[in-house]
Amino acid sequence: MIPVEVTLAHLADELPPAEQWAKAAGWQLQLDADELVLEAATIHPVDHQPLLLLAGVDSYRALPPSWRFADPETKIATPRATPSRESVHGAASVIYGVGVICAHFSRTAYKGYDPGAPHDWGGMLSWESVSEGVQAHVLAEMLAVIDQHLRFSKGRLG
Amino acid sequence: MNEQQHPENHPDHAELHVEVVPTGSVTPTPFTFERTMLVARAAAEAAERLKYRAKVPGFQTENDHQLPENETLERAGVRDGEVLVLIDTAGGV
Repeated sequence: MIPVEVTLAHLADELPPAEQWAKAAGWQLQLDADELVLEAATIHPVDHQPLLLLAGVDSYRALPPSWRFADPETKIATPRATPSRESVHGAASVIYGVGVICAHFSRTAYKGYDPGAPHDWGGMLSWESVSEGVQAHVLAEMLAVIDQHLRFSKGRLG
Repeated sequence: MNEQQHPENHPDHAELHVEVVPTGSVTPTPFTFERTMLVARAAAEAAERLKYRAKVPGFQTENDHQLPENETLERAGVRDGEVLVLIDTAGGV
């Protein structure tokens, strides 16, 4: 864990540009500064129903955010809350499955977060130096990558 | 058509002036590229200048059309004044 003040300072730097991007891209961001959870809301590109992307940002930037899609009401990751995974111009989507965004910038991709997660990558603390797959190093870039891949989703996992 | 009539042979017409916006940003930066430059090379040049740490830099249009990396900008249909979004074309893992 790193001090909350350090995490809040990083968020103070990164949230304004992320909010600028979100406004232009049709997302709404909201930070729960007490729980250190970032909520990003948008709609699915095909069914036009609400989508909620959650990210625990405790210990950010020592740890990456815990990005995952969740039910807008219960805040629990479910198949229905998760967009389907489709190829992105022949490449794999970062939208991996229920509760997992599979990229170096997502805590939910690491076995250190969940033993059932796909990757070790030297541990979550190494997230900024992992070179495998699509890269994103600040919140705005992470959101934009997830948004870019979401645009290829044809439905939901359940 | 003689040589002088080819647009690419005219100094002003050999270049494309575009605006590049890195993914996650809303701020465009003007760039000038040779029309004959490959999309991949132009994207790599933009990524380096904008300090965008993409694994495989690429361009897409504002309408989400990804430009073919091995085509020239001209053959990819890039027009003068167009806004190009600089993306990382590497996928999830």
